[in-house]
Formats: sequence, C-alpha cells, structure tokens
Amino acid sequence: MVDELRKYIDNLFADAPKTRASYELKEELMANSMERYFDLVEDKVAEKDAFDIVIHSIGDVEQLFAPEELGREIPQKDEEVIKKLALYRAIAVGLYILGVVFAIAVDEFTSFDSVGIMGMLLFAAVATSILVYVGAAYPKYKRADDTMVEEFKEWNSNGKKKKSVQNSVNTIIWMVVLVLYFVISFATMAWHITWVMFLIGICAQAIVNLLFQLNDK
Amino acid sequence: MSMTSDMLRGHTETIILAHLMEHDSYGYQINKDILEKTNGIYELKEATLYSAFRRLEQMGNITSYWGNEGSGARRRYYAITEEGKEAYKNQISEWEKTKKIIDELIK
Repeated sequence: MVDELRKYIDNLFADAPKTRASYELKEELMANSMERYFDLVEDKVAEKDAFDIVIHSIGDVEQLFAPEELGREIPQKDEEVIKKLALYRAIAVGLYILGVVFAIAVDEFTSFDSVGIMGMLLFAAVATSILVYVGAAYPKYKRADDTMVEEFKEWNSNGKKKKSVQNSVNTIIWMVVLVLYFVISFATMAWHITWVMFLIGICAQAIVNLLFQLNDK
Repeated sequence: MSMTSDMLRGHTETIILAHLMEHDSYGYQINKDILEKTNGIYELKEATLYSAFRRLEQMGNITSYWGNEGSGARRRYYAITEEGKEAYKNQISEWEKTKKIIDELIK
C-alpha cells in the first residue's frame, strides 16, 4: 500500500511543470502523506482505509499547480500582451523596410551616398533595439500560461512542430540570401551595395516570425 | 459544521502563525495539532495548508528549511520571522475586534 501511495502522489505531479517549486511541493506532500499513513497504520487502521484517508486529506490538487503557488508570474491579460508584442514586431519590421527605402531614396535623389547608408543603419539599429527589448521584456511569454495541465501538453506538442517549421523557413531564407548575394554580386560586381541583401534577409526573417506569431494566436 | 469549517479555513494563516509561535513545525504536525485541539473534528486539507504556507512565505512571515530525516522523504519545516510575529499580533487583535462585533450583532 505504501508503494501505491507513492505512485499516487507521483501521478498527481506527472503533469506538473518541471520546476523546483513543484518538485519541492511533491517532496513535502510525500513526507507528510507517508507520515500520516504510518500513523494511521500504527493506530490499527486497515491499510486500504489508511490509503483512502490519506488520499482524501490531500484535497484539491489543482490549486497547488496554480502558477502563483509555484512562484511564477502570470501575464494578466494574455490577449493584450500578444497584441502588444505583435505591434512592437510590426513596428520593427516597418523600420527595417523604411531604412532600405530611405537608403534607396537618398541614393536616387542626392549625391550623398554615405548618408543613405548611415540613415539605414540608424533605422536598423532602432528596429533591432525594439526586437531585443521585446525579447527580453517578455521572455518565453508563451510558456507562462501553461497553468492547466492539458493546455501545457497541447502547447508542448503544437509548439514543437510549429517551431521546427519556423526554423526551416528561417534556414531557407538565409540560404537563399547567401546564394543570391554571391550570384548577384559576381554578376554585377557591385559588391559595395549588394550586402544590403543581408538586411533584407533580416527583414524577411522578421516578417516570417511575425506571421508565425500571428498564426499562433 | 460547514460554517465552522469555512470560518476556520478563513483563518488558516493565523492558525499556522499561532502554531509556529510556539516552535518550528511542518505540515503534518500542524494538521495533527489542529485535529487534537478540535477533538478530532477538524483538520485542513494538505492543499489548503500548502497554499497558505506559500502565501505566508511570499509575505515574508515565515521561512522554510528542509529537515534531514535519515530515511524516506525529507520534511519541510517552517519557522516564523519577526514580521510574522508582528502579523500574528495584528491578526489576533483584529480577531478580538471581529469577535466583539459579531457577538453584538447576533446576540
């Protein structure tokens, strides 16, 4: 019966997030439950009854998995955070594109070559800063709402599949950019400007990631 | 009985603090004590107890440490902090006030 009890508690935590807090909670519950069980058995309670009493005394386990019990932050308003993230990313992508447009415009209409490139780099710097900020401010945002066990599982399987598709698309983008870079550069010999393609590659990647993000929702 | 039950649950944190005022303790011991003091009528669910521990810990009213039991799972002991003692005093005086008011109202 002791083994059954151990198994029962193991099972309770089978789907819990693998955090230190949940591991400690399990150990705490295990120690207390075992002691209660042995006390009952010592008091001549039948093993089966002791098992039932201990199980009954555990109570509603779901409340133990609530994220605030595990010391985790829950995003207050999921929808809003997702929208905000998408907005930031859209702005960043817009800035990359504007940078390229700016560079082309300066190149076309003025004689200051370097101004165009400097302007474009500035745009790219701002856009990159936004992306870095967003990445740091909402770390692994998606994982934060895995409070319910089922949701967590679902996310786990869906997430992995999507992620791998996204990764392959990104790889393809960079392969294409690299190949085009050399082909076009050798064809035109305009090496001084063809590196811009890498910036365009960044744009393309950002757009792809954004699309995946929106699709996710 | 269910009214008593609800009332008691509402004071889980004070009950825990009161217990820890005497000595450090762990979940099952506290529950055993409650059972004894209420003549075997009442005890807390483990889940209720642990969420109260976490709340108290987050508020800095208690701290926890692991015991080193030789065999089997380790016990998690809780100790009251200075803030916890302060909070306990406040809750007691709060309760005295509430008791008086309710006595007045339902007499």
